[in-house]
Amino acid sequence: MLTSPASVNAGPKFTPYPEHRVSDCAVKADKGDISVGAQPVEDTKDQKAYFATEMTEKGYLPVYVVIENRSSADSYLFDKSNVAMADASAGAVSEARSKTGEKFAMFGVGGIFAMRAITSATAVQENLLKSEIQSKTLSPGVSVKGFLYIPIPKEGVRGGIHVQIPLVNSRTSEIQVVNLTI
Amino acid sequence: MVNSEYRFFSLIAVALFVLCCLPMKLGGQAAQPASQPVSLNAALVLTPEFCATKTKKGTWGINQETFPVGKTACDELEPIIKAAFTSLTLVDDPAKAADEQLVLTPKFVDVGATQKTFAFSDRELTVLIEWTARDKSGKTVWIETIQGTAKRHMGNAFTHGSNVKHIVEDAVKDDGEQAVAKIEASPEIAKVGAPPPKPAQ
Repeated sequence: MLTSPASVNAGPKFTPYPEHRVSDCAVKADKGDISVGAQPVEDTKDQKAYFATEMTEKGYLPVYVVIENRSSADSYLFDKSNVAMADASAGAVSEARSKTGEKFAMFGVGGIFAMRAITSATAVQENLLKSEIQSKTLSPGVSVKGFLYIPIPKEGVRGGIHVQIPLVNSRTSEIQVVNLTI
Repeated sequence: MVNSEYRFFSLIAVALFVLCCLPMKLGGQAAQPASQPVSLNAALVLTPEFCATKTKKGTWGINQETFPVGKTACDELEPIIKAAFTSLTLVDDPAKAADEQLVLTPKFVDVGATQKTFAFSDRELTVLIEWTARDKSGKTVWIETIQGTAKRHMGNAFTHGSNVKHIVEDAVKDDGEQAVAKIEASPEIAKVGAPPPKPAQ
Protein backbone atom coordinates (compact mmCIF):
# COMPACT_ATOMS: atom_id res chain seq x y z
CA MET A 1 0.00 0.00 0.00
CA LEU A 2 1.28 3.41 -0.94
CA THR A 3 1.19 6.21 1.57
CA SER A 4 0.95 9.78 0.39
CA PRO A 5 3.65 12.26 1.55
CA ALA A 6 0.95 14.33 3.23
CA SER A 7 -0.11 11.45 5.45
CA VAL A 8 3.50 10.57 6.28
CA ASN A 9 4.06 14.16 7.32
CA ALA A 10 0.81 14.51 9.26
CA GLY A 11 1.38 14.93 12.98
CA PRO A 12 -0.71 13.53 15.81
CA LYS A 13 -4.24 14.88 16.24
CA PHE A 14 -5.20 16.50 19.54
CA THR A 15 -8.82 16.80 20.64
CA PRO A 16 -9.22 20.17 22.38
CA TYR A 17 -9.99 19.72 26.08
CA PRO A 18 -13.42 21.24 26.82
CA GLU A 19 -13.23 24.43 28.86
CA HIS A 20 -14.48 24.02 32.41
CA ARG A 21 -15.64 26.50 35.00
CA VAL A 22 -14.89 25.81 38.67
CA SER A 23 -18.48 24.61 39.13
CA ASP A 24 -17.95 21.95 36.41
CA CYS A 25 -14.92 20.38 38.13
CA ALA A 26 -14.91 17.25 40.28
CA VAL A 27 -12.76 18.88 42.97
CA LYS A 28 -13.41 22.45 44.15
CA ALA A 29 -12.16 24.76 46.87
CA ASP A 30 -12.64 28.42 47.81
CA LYS A 31 -10.50 30.80 49.83
CA GLY A 32 -11.58 34.41 50.11
CA ASP A 33 -12.00 35.84 46.62
CA ILE A 34 -10.38 32.83 44.98
CA SER A 35 -12.16 29.77 43.69
CA VAL A 36 -10.25 26.77 42.30
CA GLY A 37 -11.49 23.70 40.45
CA ALA A 38 -9.53 20.62 39.42
CA GLN A 39 -10.46 17.80 37.07
CA PRO A 40 -8.00 14.89 36.79
CA VAL A 41 -7.91 13.15 33.39
CA GLU A 42 -7.54 9.56 34.65
CA ASP A 43 -8.88 7.63 31.63
CA THR A 44 -6.04 6.63 29.33
CA LYS A 45 -8.39 6.88 26.32
CA ASP A 46 -9.02 10.53 27.20
CA GLN A 47 -5.28 11.08 27.67
CA LYS A 48 -4.70 9.62 24.21
CA ALA A 49 -7.35 11.92 22.72
CA TYR A 50 -6.21 15.15 24.38
CA PHE A 51 -2.44 14.56 24.47
CA ALA A 52 -1.84 11.79 21.88
CA THR A 53 -0.05 9.77 24.54
CA GLU A 54 -0.99 7.66 27.55
CA MET A 55 0.48 9.65 30.39
CA THR A 56 -0.37 7.40 33.35
CA GLU A 57 1.96 4.65 32.11
CA LYS A 58 4.74 7.27 31.86
CA GLY A 59 4.15 8.23 35.50
CA TYR A 60 2.18 11.46 35.11
CA LEU A 61 -1.42 12.46 35.75
CA PRO A 62 -2.77 15.43 33.78
CA VAL A 63 -5.00 17.55 36.03
CA TYR A 64 -7.03 20.39 34.50
CA VAL A 65 -7.05 23.35 36.87
CA VAL A 66 -9.14 26.52 36.69
CA ILE A 67 -8.58 29.43 39.08
CA GLU A 68 -11.16 32.22 39.22
CA ASN A 69 -10.76 35.60 40.88
CA ARG A 70 -14.23 36.53 42.11
CA SER A 71 -13.18 39.88 43.59
CA SER A 72 -14.64 43.02 42.06
CA ALA A 73 -11.66 45.15 43.09
CA ASP A 74 -8.51 43.17 43.86
CA SER A 75 -6.04 41.45 41.56
CA TYR A 76 -4.18 38.26 42.44
CA LEU A 77 -0.84 36.96 41.17
CA PHE A 78 -0.71 33.28 40.26
CA ASP A 79 2.90 32.12 40.07
CA LYS A 80 3.00 28.56 38.75
CA SER A 81 6.41 27.94 40.30
CA ASN A 82 4.82 28.23 43.76
CA VAL A 83 2.31 25.43 43.20
CA ALA A 84 3.24 22.49 45.40
CA MET A 85 1.99 18.98 46.00
CA ALA A 86 2.38 16.01 48.31
CA ASP A 87 1.03 12.53 48.83
CA ALA A 88 -2.16 13.11 50.79
CA SER A 89 -1.54 10.03 52.94
CA ALA A 90 2.02 11.04 53.86
CA GLY A 91 2.84 12.46 57.24
CA ALA A 92 5.19 15.38 57.81
CA VAL A 93 7.46 16.04 54.86
CA SER A 94 10.39 18.36 54.46
CA GLU A 95 9.62 22.05 54.64
CA ALA A 96 10.26 24.46 51.80
CA ARG A 97 9.70 28.17 51.39
CA SER A 98 8.15 29.69 48.30
CA LYS A 99 9.21 32.88 46.53
CA THR A 100 6.37 34.72 48.22
CA GLY A 101 7.56 33.66 51.67
CA GLU A 102 4.83 31.13 52.34
CA LYS A 103 6.02 27.90 53.93
CA PHE A 104 5.27 24.74 51.99
CA ALA A 105 5.85 21.17 53.10
CA MET A 106 5.72 19.94 49.54
CA PHE A 107 7.47 19.69 46.21
CA GLY A 108 6.80 21.31 42.87
CA VAL A 109 4.75 19.82 40.07
CA GLY A 110 6.21 18.49 36.84
CA GLY A 111 6.29 20.85 33.88
CA ILE A 112 9.18 21.00 31.45
CA PHE A 113 10.75 17.83 32.84
CA ALA A 114 7.43 16.04 32.63
CA MET A 115 7.20 16.78 28.92
CA ARG A 116 10.65 15.32 28.24
CA ALA A 117 9.81 12.23 30.31
CA ILE A 118 6.40 11.68 28.72
CA THR A 119 7.46 11.72 25.09
CA SER A 120 10.22 12.52 22.63
CA ALA A 121 7.71 13.43 19.89
CA THR A 122 8.06 17.16 19.31
CA ALA A 123 4.41 17.76 18.36
CA VAL A 124 3.21 15.99 21.52
CA GLN A 125 5.70 17.95 23.64
CA GLU A 126 4.54 21.22 22.10
CA ASN A 127 0.89 20.38 22.79
CA LEU A 128 1.74 19.56 26.43
CA LEU A 129 3.55 22.90 26.69
CA LYS A 130 0.66 24.87 25.21
CA SER A 131 -1.90 23.09 27.41
CA GLU A 132 -0.02 23.67 30.67
CA ILE A 133 -1.33 26.25 33.14
CA GLN A 134 0.98 29.28 33.27
CA SER A 135 1.69 32.17 35.61
CA LYS A 136 -0.75 35.05 35.24
CA THR A 137 -2.19 38.13 36.91
CA LEU A 138 -5.84 37.56 37.72
CA SER A 139 -7.49 40.95 37.44
CA PRO A 140 -11.00 41.23 38.97
CA GLY A 141 -13.26 38.63 37.37
CA VAL A 142 -10.42 37.00 35.42
CA SER A 143 -9.56 33.29 35.46
CA VAL A 144 -6.63 31.13 34.39
CA LYS A 145 -6.91 27.55 33.23
CA GLY A 146 -4.66 24.76 32.03
CA PHE A 147 -3.05 21.48 33.02
CA LEU A 148 -0.69 20.48 35.78
CA TYR A 149 1.28 17.31 35.09
CA ILE A 150 1.56 15.56 38.43
CA PRO A 151 4.04 12.71 38.98
CA ILE A 152 2.31 9.47 40.09
CA PRO A 153 3.42 5.84 40.44
CA LYS A 154 3.51 4.10 37.04
CA GLU A 155 1.77 1.01 38.39
CA GLY A 156 -0.87 0.27 41.00
CA VAL A 157 -3.63 2.43 42.39
CA ARG A 158 -2.56 5.97 43.11
CA GLY A 159 -3.27 7.54 46.47
CA GLY A 160 -4.75 10.98 47.07
CA ILE A 161 -2.63 13.93 46.00
CA HIS A 162 -2.67 17.14 47.99
CA VAL A 163 -2.17 20.25 45.82
CA GLN A 164 -1.46 23.67 47.30
CA ILE A 165 -2.02 26.77 45.16
CA PRO A 166 -0.91 30.09 46.64
CA LEU A 167 -2.08 33.42 45.18
CA VAL A 168 -0.80 36.84 46.20
CA ASN A 169 -3.06 39.88 46.46
CA SER A 170 -1.21 42.45 44.33
CA ARG A 171 -2.41 45.37 46.48
CA THR A 172 -1.90 44.05 50.00
CA SER A 173 0.67 41.27 49.31
CA GLU A 174 -1.54 39.00 51.43
CA ILE A 175 -1.30 35.34 50.39
CA GLN A 176 -4.36 33.17 49.87
CA VAL A 177 -3.49 29.47 49.87
CA VAL A 178 -6.03 27.15 48.30
CA ASN A 179 -5.74 23.43 49.15
CA LEU A 180 -7.17 20.63 47.05
CA THR A 181 -7.05 16.86 47.39
CA ILE A 182 -7.27 15.01 44.09
CA MET B 1 -33.00 45.42 -23.83
CA VAL B 2 -33.49 43.35 -20.70
CA ASN B 3 -29.79 42.66 -20.69
CA SER B 4 -28.84 46.37 -20.87
CA GLU B 5 -31.32 47.20 -18.07
CA TYR B 6 -29.78 44.47 -15.97
CA ARG B 7 -26.30 45.92 -16.60
CA PHE B 8 -27.52 49.43 -15.74
CA PHE B 9 -29.05 48.36 -12.43
CA SER B 10 -26.01 46.24 -11.63
CA LEU B 11 -23.76 49.28 -12.13
CA ILE B 12 -26.04 51.39 -9.92
CA ALA B 13 -25.91 48.71 -7.21
CA VAL B 14 -22.11 48.51 -7.36
CA ALA B 15 -21.84 52.33 -7.24
CA LEU B 16 -24.18 52.51 -4.24
CA PHE B 17 -22.15 49.83 -2.45
CA VAL B 18 -18.89 51.71 -3.08
CA LEU B 19 -20.38 55.03 -1.98
CA CYS B 20 -22.13 53.70 1.14
CA CYS B 21 -20.08 50.84 2.49
CA LEU B 22 -16.48 51.63 1.61
CA PRO B 23 -16.32 54.91 3.59
CA MET B 24 -17.96 53.09 6.53
CA LYS B 25 -15.31 50.42 6.38
CA LEU B 26 -12.51 52.96 6.10
CA GLY B 27 -14.11 55.03 8.84
CA GLY B 28 -14.36 51.90 10.99
CA GLN B 29 -10.66 51.27 10.59
CA ALA B 30 -9.80 54.87 11.40
CA ALA B 31 -12.07 54.83 14.44
CA GLN B 32 -10.05 52.07 16.13
CA PRO B 33 -8.28 53.70 19.08
CA ALA B 34 -4.51 53.66 18.83
CA SER B 35 -2.94 51.97 21.82
CA GLN B 36 -1.47 54.39 24.34
CA PRO B 37 1.86 53.86 26.09
CA VAL B 38 1.68 53.64 29.87
CA SER B 39 2.91 56.85 31.55
CA LEU B 40 5.81 55.23 33.34
CA ASN B 41 9.58 55.28 33.24
CA ALA B 42 10.38 51.61 33.01
CA ALA B 43 13.45 49.41 32.78
CA LEU B 44 13.75 46.23 30.76
CA VAL B 45 16.09 43.71 32.40
CA LEU B 46 17.88 41.48 29.90
CA THR B 47 20.46 39.57 31.93
CA PRO B 48 23.49 37.87 30.32
CA GLU B 49 21.98 34.51 31.37
CA PHE B 50 18.70 35.33 29.63
CA CYS B 51 20.54 36.46 26.47
CA ALA B 52 22.62 33.26 26.43
CA THR B 53 19.59 30.94 26.55
CA LYS B 54 19.61 28.26 23.86
CA THR B 55 17.08 25.46 23.61
CA LYS B 56 17.78 22.10 22.04
CA LYS B 57 14.96 20.03 20.59
CA GLY B 58 14.96 16.56 19.03
CA THR B 59 17.30 13.62 19.55
CA TRP B 60 21.06 14.09 19.57
CA GLY B 61 22.73 12.65 16.47
CA ILE B 62 19.41 12.24 14.65
CA ASN B 63 17.36 15.41 14.41
CA GLN B 64 18.57 17.70 17.17
CA GLU B 65 18.18 21.42 16.55
CA THR B 66 19.35 24.41 18.58
CA PHE B 67 17.17 27.51 18.88
CA PRO B 68 19.12 30.62 20.00
CA VAL B 69 16.10 32.21 21.69
CA GLY B 70 18.11 34.30 24.18
CA LYS B 71 20.29 36.10 21.62
CA THR B 72 17.29 36.76 19.39
CA ALA B 73 15.21 38.05 22.30
CA CYS B 74 17.99 40.41 23.37
CA ASP B 75 18.28 41.74 19.80
CA GLU B 76 14.55 42.10 19.16
CA LEU B 77 12.64 42.80 22.38
CA GLU B 78 13.81 46.28 23.42
CA PRO B 79 12.51 48.20 20.36
CA ILE B 80 9.17 46.39 20.65
CA ILE B 81 8.70 46.87 24.42
CA LYS B 82 9.70 50.56 24.09
CA ALA B 83 6.25 51.24 22.60
CA ALA B 84 4.55 50.25 25.88
CA PHE B 85 6.04 53.02 28.08
CA THR B 86 6.82 56.73 27.92
CA SER B 87 10.46 55.80 28.45
CA LEU B 88 12.33 52.52 28.61
CA THR B 89 15.88 51.93 29.86
CA LEU B 90 17.72 48.74 29.03
CA VAL B 91 19.72 47.18 31.88
CA ASP B 92 21.49 43.85 32.36
CA ASP B 93 20.93 43.72 36.13
CA PRO B 94 17.79 44.63 38.12
CA ALA B 95 20.02 46.49 40.63
CA LYS B 96 20.80 49.03 37.89
CA ALA B 97 17.13 49.93 37.56
CA ALA B 98 16.61 51.40 41.04
CA ASP B 99 15.48 54.80 39.69
CA GLU B 100 12.77 53.44 37.41
CA GLN B 101 9.08 53.33 38.38
CA LEU B 102 8.65 49.86 36.92
CA VAL B 103 11.12 47.03 36.30
CA LEU B 104 10.11 44.50 33.66
CA THR B 105 11.92 41.14 33.61
CA PRO B 106 11.35 38.42 31.01
CA LYS B 107 12.18 34.78 31.74
CA PHE B 108 12.02 31.85 29.34
CA VAL B 109 9.55 29.19 30.48
CA ASP B 110 10.16 26.79 27.59
CA VAL B 111 10.27 26.46 23.84
CA GLY B 112 8.23 24.00 21.79
CA ALA B 113 9.12 23.16 18.22
CA THR B 114 7.47 20.69 15.92
CA GLN B 115 9.60 18.92 13.30
CA LYS B 116 8.55 17.91 9.82
CA THR B 117 9.99 15.41 7.37
CA PHE B 118 9.76 17.52 4.24
CA ALA B 119 11.59 20.78 3.53
CA PHE B 120 8.47 22.65 2.37
CA SER B 121 6.28 21.53 5.25
CA ASP B 122 5.40 24.27 7.71
CA ARG B 123 6.53 23.69 11.27
CA GLU B 124 5.59 25.71 14.35
CA LEU B 125 7.72 27.24 17.05
CA THR B 126 6.27 28.32 20.39
CA VAL B 127 8.30 30.49 22.77
CA LEU B 128 6.87 30.92 26.26
CA ILE B 129 8.14 33.95 28.15
CA GLU B 130 7.07 34.81 31.68
CA TRP B 131 7.03 38.61 32.15
CA THR B 132 7.25 39.99 35.66
CA ALA B 133 6.76 43.68 36.53
CA ARG B 134 7.95 45.05 39.86
CA ASP B 135 7.40 48.52 41.27
CA LYS B 136 10.08 50.76 42.78
CA SER B 137 9.83 48.99 46.15
CA GLY B 138 10.50 45.63 44.48
CA LYS B 139 6.96 44.37 44.92
CA THR B 140 5.65 42.20 42.09
CA VAL B 141 2.62 43.97 40.62
CA TRP B 142 2.05 41.96 37.45
CA ILE B 143 3.00 38.59 36.02
CA GLU B 144 2.00 37.18 32.66
CA THR B 145 3.11 34.21 30.57
CA ILE B 146 2.92 34.84 26.87
CA GLN B 147 3.08 32.30 24.03
CA GLY B 148 4.85 33.70 21.00
CA THR B 149 4.33 31.52 17.95
CA ALA B 150 5.57 31.42 14.37
CA LYS B 151 5.31 29.10 11.40
CA ARG B 152 7.88 28.58 8.66
CA HIS B 153 9.12 25.87 6.32
CA MET B 154 11.34 23.24 7.88
CA GLY B 155 13.93 23.90 5.16
CA ASN B 156 16.46 21.68 3.44
CA ALA B 157 20.17 21.25 4.11
CA PHE B 158 20.89 24.68 2.60
CA THR B 159 17.98 26.72 4.00
CA HIS B 160 17.42 25.08 7.40
CA GLY B 161 19.78 27.41 9.32
CA SER B 162 18.22 30.54 7.86
CA ASN B 163 14.71 29.21 8.50
CA VAL B 164 15.55 28.48 12.15
CA LYS B 165 16.90 32.04 12.56
CA HIS B 166 13.76 33.56 11.06
CA ILE B 167 11.25 31.38 12.90
CA VAL B 168 12.90 32.27 16.23
CA GLU B 169 12.82 35.99 15.30
CA ASP B 170 9.14 35.80 14.35
CA ALA B 171 8.13 33.93 17.52
CA VAL B 172 10.08 36.31 19.79
CA LYS B 173 8.61 39.37 18.03
CA ASP B 174 5.10 37.90 18.37
CA ASP B 175 5.73 37.38 22.09
CA GLY B 176 7.00 40.96 22.52
CA GLU B 177 4.06 42.46 20.61
CA GLN B 178 1.56 40.52 22.70
CA ALA B 179 3.43 41.66 25.84
CA VAL B 180 3.02 45.31 24.79
CA ALA B 181 -0.73 44.83 24.32
CA LYS B 182 -1.06 43.13 27.73
CA ILE B 183 1.03 45.81 29.47
CA GLU B 184 -1.07 48.60 27.97
CA ALA B 185 -4.28 46.84 29.02
CA SER B 186 -3.14 45.97 32.55
CA PRO B 187 -4.97 47.84 35.35
CA GLU B 188 -2.26 46.67 37.77
CA ILE B 189 0.52 48.41 35.78
CA ALA B 190 -1.63 51.51 35.22
CA LYS B 191 -2.01 51.82 39.00
CA VAL B 192 1.79 52.04 39.45
CA GLY B 193 1.85 55.31 37.53
CA ALA B 194 -1.36 56.68 39.02
CA PRO B 195 -1.14 59.35 41.77
CA PRO B 196 -1.87 57.97 45.27
CA PRO B 197 -5.49 58.32 46.37
CA LYS B 198 -6.24 61.47 48.40
CA PRO B 199 -6.82 60.76 52.11
CA ALA B 200 -10.44 61.05 53.23
CA GLN B 201 -11.23 64.49 54.73
